[in-house]
Amino acid sequence: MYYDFYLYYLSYLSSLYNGYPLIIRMTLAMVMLLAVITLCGILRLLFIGYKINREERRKNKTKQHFEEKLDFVMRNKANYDVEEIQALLDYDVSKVKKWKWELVTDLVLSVKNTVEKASALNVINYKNCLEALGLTRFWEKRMRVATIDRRREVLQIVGEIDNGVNSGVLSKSTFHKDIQLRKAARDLYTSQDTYNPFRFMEENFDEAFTQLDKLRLHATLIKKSNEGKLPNLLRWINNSKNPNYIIFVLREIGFFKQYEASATLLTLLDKQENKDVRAQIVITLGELDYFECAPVLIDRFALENSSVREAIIKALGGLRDEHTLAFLVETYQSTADVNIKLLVARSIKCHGEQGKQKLHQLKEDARSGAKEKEHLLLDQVFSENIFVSA
Amino acid sequence: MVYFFTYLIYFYATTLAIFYIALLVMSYFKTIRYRYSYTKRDEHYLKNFPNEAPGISIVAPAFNEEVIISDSVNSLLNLDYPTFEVIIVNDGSKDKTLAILIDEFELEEIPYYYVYKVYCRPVHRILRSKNPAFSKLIVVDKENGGTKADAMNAGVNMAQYAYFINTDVDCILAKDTLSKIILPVLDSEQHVIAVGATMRMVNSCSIDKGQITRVRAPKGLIPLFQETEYLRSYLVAKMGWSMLNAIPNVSGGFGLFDTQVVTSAGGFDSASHAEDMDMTVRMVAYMRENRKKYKIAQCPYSLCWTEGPPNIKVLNRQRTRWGRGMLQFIIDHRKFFLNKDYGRLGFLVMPYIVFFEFLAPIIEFTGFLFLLFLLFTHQVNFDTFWMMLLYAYLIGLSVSIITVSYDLVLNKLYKNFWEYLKLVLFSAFEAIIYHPLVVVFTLRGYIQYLTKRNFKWGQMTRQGFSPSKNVNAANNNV
Repeated sequence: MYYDFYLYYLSYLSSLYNGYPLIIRMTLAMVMLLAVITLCGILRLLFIGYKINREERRKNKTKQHFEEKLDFVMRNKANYDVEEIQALLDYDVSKVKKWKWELVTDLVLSVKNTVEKASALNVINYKNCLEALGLTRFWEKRMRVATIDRRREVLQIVGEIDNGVNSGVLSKSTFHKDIQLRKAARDLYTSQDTYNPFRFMEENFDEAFTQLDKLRLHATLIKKSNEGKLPNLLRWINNSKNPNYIIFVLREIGFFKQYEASATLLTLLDKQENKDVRAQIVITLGELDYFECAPVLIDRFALENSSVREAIIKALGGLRDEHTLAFLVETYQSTADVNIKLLVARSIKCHGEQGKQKLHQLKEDARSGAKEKEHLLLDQVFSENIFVSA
Repeated sequence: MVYFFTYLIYFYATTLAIFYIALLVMSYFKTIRYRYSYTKRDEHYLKNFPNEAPGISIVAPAFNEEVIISDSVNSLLNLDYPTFEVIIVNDGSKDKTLAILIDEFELEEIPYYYVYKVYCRPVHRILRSKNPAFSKLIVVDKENGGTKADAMNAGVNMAQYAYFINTDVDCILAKDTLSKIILPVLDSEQHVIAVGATMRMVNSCSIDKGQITRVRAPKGLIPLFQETEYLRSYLVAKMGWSMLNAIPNVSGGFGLFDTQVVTSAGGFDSASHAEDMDMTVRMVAYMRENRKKYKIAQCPYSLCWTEGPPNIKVLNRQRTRWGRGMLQFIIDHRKFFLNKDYGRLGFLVMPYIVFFEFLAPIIEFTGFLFLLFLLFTHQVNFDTFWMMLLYAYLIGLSVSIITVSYDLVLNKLYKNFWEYLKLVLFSAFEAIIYHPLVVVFTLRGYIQYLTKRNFKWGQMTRQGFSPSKNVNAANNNV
């Protein structure tokens, strides 16, 4: 618009340095560039400040208008229908301004979480609130049109809303090339789909599988287990070659106490080549209190590498009987490795009174044998009762 | 000669400007991506499922810290995370540090089989409390080793978890620090060996029971300048470098490290005066030498508040020590420089450290002397002189302003928007007031290292966090 105006002043500035070496003219260009960056930086800062203040004002206004009413509806034991809630909230979906959707969603989720913590949430009223405020439709639409980064955030919000999701809307994201988006979509699918929720769990979930994915899926599985009994998780291992995923599934088997998987797990111990997977199988067997595995674990102990040996020691601490205790005591006496001694001593202590007696005996042996360091080590294990955090 | 030197300084400044603009762009994209990667929900998972949250050991050495030790330990014990331990290493304090700890946290000596996995001066005893409220606290009482590195090693030997935080007792951590700092570790397919986060000045913040209740821009001039300097370093430089997986240094004030890798790399170097940078580089070298893939991540959120130098005297001590550490680091690790076996470390990190961190004060100081020479010999062309000066000035100013805006976008920590404008306003004077001091003190450190003088771990004069203690400390300092 003011092209001639700018061109005039640029030409004027340029003419001032006509005849100067190239380097001076280059510097002039750099100074102008930096001056523009500085100016834009200040303006941006002021704009961000203004935006933050405006959002705070809007947030307070929305809170004042909705919070008490939402709390009343979600806590109320009587069921309200959508129209009643709309009338109570004095809210017309067709006239909502663009900025209001996210603020209202945040507020609804915050009220829901508070009421849920107090175990007073009326789920029907909560779902009708979502319907009355048009939030489900809004976020489904947002899921289709948002940029990749924002879409991932949208998926997490939809997960938090926890009101089901149209699988058709999700399908685009569940096979997207962006790993983070794809994984977020698959997690949401597992959590919200009712037709075939474990589809991705059976297909190795995703080739890129991190600790955070484990945590998110763990939460999803807890939610699913609260809704109904989980299938035998062991079948998910068969289709996977990703050790991280296999370890995750094994942990979940232990967490959800799927005792029916114990015998198969023991046979898997021979088939798995990965040491971390084998160590997790041992830990899971221990968590499932599968006493039948003890002789097998004892037999394998001498042949296994250190991480599996440590897992066996920990598992045998939980599988309390005379044989396992005798094996632990023998291992303690035969090993020179201080770290193993410490682990074994802790496992012996897990064997209750009998274990403590054995430890006292070992301590006495250490005293009579003038093994000061070993004596100190056993003292440490005894003192852990009193000092080590729960 | 005159022309050569003039051009040298010019191109140096230009390369630096290009570097910073590139880092600004990279850090922008990295920060935006980071912001959308994790939500509060992920942090809640860690708290709701404590068995799934990886344990973290917090190691904080203390040497003569009687003024702040109590507040500091209380602050660490009150962090909002399910599985962690706090290891305070009493590095042979001569004041009441240990006595205060024993008294206030009801500590008793426990039998402990202490294993020296990495070298440190002898450990006398381990103390813990029977009071369940302090069950996460462990105190390692050891002989003074003269450096933070030695005390850190004593703590690392004691750490039981896979990751530990290297911090100082003068640091106050945000309540959600641990859940925020562990997320990049959990979300990575590659082995994360260290994570850094943004640090700020605690000087004018309000603190109650070891927790920050109101974040304020520092009132004192030196901490105010240092706040902008820190933001630039963490939000622009380190965030930018993290995009290339080439973070040169995870700060010694606050950083998460992989315990196993630190131990395998030999622990912190007790002879080092820049133990954080030294450790970061040795960890990277260890991973490269063993052909293991690794990642060093950076969390843009402000998670740690530290006491900045309140006056020029303390600033002098701090920067002189950093200067000594820098020169020592360059000499000790010269073999990595342009060494193809060390990949990015050899061809990116080390050249950057040498040319833009180590040489910067030397070039700036000689440039200043050279300018004086030109002025006296009337060789300055004032038509272009002001433009060159403006050029150098705008490089720093523009980066500072953009950094402050990044910080504001991430999280509005200051209650009042004018506090951000205060940062911007004072950053306009940084090049004139603060930066020359930093240059002189750093050069002083170089000279001290070369002349082998004053090789003590410079002690910081603490002001304390609680108002009552501030008064006492101020009186003691007089």
